[in-house]
Amino acid sequence: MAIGAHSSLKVRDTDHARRRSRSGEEHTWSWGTFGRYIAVALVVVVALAPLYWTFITSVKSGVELNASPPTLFPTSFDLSNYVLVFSSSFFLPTLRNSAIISAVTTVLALLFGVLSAYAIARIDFLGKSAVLSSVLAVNMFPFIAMVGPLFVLFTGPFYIYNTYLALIIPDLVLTLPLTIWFLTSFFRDLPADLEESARVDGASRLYTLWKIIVPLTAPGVFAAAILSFIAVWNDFLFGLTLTSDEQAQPVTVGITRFNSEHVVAYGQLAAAAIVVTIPLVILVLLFQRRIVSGLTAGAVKG
Amino acid sequence: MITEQREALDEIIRKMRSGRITRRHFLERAVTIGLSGSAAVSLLEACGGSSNSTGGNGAATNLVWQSEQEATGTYQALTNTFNQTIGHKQGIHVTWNQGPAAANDMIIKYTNMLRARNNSIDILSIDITYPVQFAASNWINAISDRQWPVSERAKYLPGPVQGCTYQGKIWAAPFRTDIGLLYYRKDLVSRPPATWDELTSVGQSTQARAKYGYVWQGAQYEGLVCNFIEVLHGYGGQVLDPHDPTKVVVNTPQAQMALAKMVSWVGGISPEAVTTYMEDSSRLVWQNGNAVFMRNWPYAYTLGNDPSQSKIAGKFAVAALPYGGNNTVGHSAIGGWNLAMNSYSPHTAQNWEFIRYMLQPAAQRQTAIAASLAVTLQSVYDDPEVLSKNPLFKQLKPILQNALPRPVSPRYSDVSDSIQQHIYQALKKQISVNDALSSLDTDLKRIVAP
Amino acid sequence: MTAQVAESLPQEVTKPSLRERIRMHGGYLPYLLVLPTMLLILVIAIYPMLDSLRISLLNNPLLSQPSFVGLRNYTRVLSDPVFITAIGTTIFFMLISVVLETMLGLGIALLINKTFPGRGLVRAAILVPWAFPTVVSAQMWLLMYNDQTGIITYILQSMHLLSAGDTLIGSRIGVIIASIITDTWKTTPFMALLILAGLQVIPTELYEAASVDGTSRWQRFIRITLPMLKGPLLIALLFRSLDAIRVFDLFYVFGQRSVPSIASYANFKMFAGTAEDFAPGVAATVIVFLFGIVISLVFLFLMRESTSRN
Repeated sequence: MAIGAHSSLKVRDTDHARRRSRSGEEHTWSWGTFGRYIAVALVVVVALAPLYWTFITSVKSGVELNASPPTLFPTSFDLSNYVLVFSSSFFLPTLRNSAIISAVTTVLALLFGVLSAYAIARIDFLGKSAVLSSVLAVNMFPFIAMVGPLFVLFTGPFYIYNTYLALIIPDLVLTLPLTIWFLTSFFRDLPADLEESARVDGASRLYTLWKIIVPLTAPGVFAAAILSFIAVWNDFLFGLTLTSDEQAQPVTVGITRFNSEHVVAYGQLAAAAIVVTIPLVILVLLFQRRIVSGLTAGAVKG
Repeated sequence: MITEQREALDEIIRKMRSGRITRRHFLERAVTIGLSGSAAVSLLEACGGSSNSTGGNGAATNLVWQSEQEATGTYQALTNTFNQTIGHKQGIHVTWNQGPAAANDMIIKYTNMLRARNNSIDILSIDITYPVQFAASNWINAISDRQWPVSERAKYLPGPVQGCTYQGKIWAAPFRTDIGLLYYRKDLVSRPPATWDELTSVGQSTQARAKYGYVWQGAQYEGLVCNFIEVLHGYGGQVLDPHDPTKVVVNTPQAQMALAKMVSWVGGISPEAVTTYMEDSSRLVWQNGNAVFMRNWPYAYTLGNDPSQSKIAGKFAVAALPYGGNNTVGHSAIGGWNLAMNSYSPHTAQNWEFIRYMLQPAAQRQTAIAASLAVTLQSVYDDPEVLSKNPLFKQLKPILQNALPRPVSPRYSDVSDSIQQHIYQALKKQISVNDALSSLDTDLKRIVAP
Repeated sequence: MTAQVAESLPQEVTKPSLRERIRMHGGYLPYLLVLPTMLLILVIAIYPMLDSLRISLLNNPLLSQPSFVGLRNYTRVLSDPVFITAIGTTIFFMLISVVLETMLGLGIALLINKTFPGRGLVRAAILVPWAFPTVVSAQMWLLMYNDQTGIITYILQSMHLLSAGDTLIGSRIGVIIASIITDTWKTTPFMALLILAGLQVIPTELYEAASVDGTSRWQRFIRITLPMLKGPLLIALLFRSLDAIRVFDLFYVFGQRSVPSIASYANFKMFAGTAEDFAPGVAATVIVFLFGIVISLVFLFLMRESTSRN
């Protein structure tokens, strides 16, 4: 019991510490904070360990690559896996495909998303919640169930199998709900009088949207763009089933070719994984604050 | 003809040529833009109906050959020679299409194309398990006895020919082949094991000096079927009756011995993880010097002798697969590529002309020398120039002659799925050998029932 | 302004026609604005979903004249022991991974619900796994699960949790565990951030009042934090469960043909089998959808329960 009382005292202490630190005061050292730092460090290590493992696999050369047991700190440093990855017939084309598909889809999703989110956030209309909830429901669809009908459609009457269009169309389903959800919460945050003053001046709703709302919520729009780009970049299912070769195949499918039944090139697989994920790591590091605000926007305000 | 109509027509002709719409679609669309039915048909004839327009070579017939991946440029050279000689005389021009790295990508491409009745490819290179399946869907034309007489076929390896034959008809011409081999470490064992029992006991006694006795392909995928039928054929068993492929003969004492042997390997002379191994994962273990024996295709030979990635370069040799029970000869499973004719291609005679050329000694010899591929014409394996380029080929000839195809069935994909499932469960000891074989038997009977 | 007044009036008094109601609310403009999105969703999401119902009743949709076969495709997949096992695999994966991710997410959220130097960096670091394509993450973990060169195999073997020469992904339960580990690694950060956002809107006064009463930290967690988090947690759990029931990439990479999830089973049926397997594959995808509906109904019931009790 004495221990219990002691720990509750401790808690009160850290609570005070928190309030103080929020107001910018200095931190006090205690075993509690020490434990917290250890736990945080552990979380960070676990989060980044696979990235480290992939990286060292990508720079190990020849025999060390397949050494059993593996080495935790590589004795060789060899970039030949990267050279092989880039000189393979499919990696660069699929990387380019992913970039184009993600960019185009993101632009389209923003275009549709801004219009819808504006209506939902700033105009009161009947059926608004129906629109918002149907958009959300679509995001939770099992995408595997769309693949069969789309395959039949894209290889039959509407032949776009193995083209960018065959991925951009279904990828919009991946991104549009997210985009609308985030943009709605950003648009809602703007004070109403801003827009009203513009409308008193006689500006149309669309003009206000374009000239006032979008520029003012640029960080939010940007966050939505990043999230949308990542969502499309990460698609595997549609790429796997609706394209057949490097003419339109995304890099998520391209990368699996380094690990098939006849070719297992762990070094190249790792190098390709690094190349594909590095842009994402950079995006996350640069824009983590915006991504987090985008991700959590809907959850808090509901 | 008004301009809009002209443009619409140009558009559909372009699509037709590039293979994006079928003849039927072409006709439908031509009629919707106001062309009379008969005019559309004659226009179709004028376009040749052929989807590929290589343009500018002046040949009367343009064909497209889609091959598997071939990196040495030999296929391009063969195509060029054809175009300059036979093709030049007969007005045929062949365009060669390089294949994708993954064989599976190509099968998806083919099935999509053929389901759409498309003929953007005239001559298809297809894996040995597909000719009969494609034939059952009417996607490819049979090669007639007049085109390829039985006496002529006898000059080629029997296994691949058998693999392309169903109900007395041959559906594709075997161009090159691939077989399962036993790799063994010369530095650890003095001679290759003759029987599966010997492999097991030698593997047991020597595995401490490597790490594992035997690595092979035990993952649930097509490769497991090859590994299983090799042991099964070695014991004298069969999956389907070769004379009547609608009869299942898999639940026999031979099959029980074969499967029991394989099950004993897992966690014995083979690592538990062998049930996740495919070709290349077993090769990596082998190249790392961690196994005494390995079952793999010939491709592992060159890679294993490359000292920059292999610890056992120069320390191994290959042999025929062992046998067991009352049998006295081992049988490798057959892989390899075969040339088939798209049944939606209007150029039946010209397609055969090209395939015939590819089967001739000159093309077969050139493929063996320049691309180091195991071709199907038997005489090539006695050719001194071929043997000096590929010393391994000398050993291959008897193995190739004894090789047997996987079960030949128009429902092979289902047959294969079922074999993979039941054999894998037995290897994982989820079910007993007897249960695995009897449920495989029941399953296969349902699948191959006429 | 007028709209709000109209809404506050009792219904019996006004009862405007639909046209009037539309005019009083934002006019036709909002409908025009959401029209492109709704059309798009109709064409590229709703239509394929409904079409999958139709296709699942045909013998082979890739034929030019497919015929109607009733529920044959459903009986076919439901009588396939592999499919039944796949259902078990998927549900087991869903339950364990969702619970694990929620608990760990809550833990991490509590851990970083406090400013400390480098908090931004920590947040970015845990966000990294979330940003990776699942299939690439799976390949990265595959390197670590590899039986010869994988670090996880090596650790598990040294701890004698795995026999020598074995690998985690060599058995069904192993594949599920491997998928759960990778999924937890990838998705916990997302959970943590959602929960963190929920934590930060809990008024500090509640805690202050409680600490004056002398309650322990644990008591405050149970009495204040959890009840306040219940709403956001249920929504997060619903989303995670719906996401987990359609799991594809992880089982495609780790389980391959031998340990499929429902979705990867459907994929192999549709695209790696014979032409006759296509429609049964589509039937399997419809079953994934039905599972999703059942899960949603369960959560809707739970949410209604929790709000009515409050």
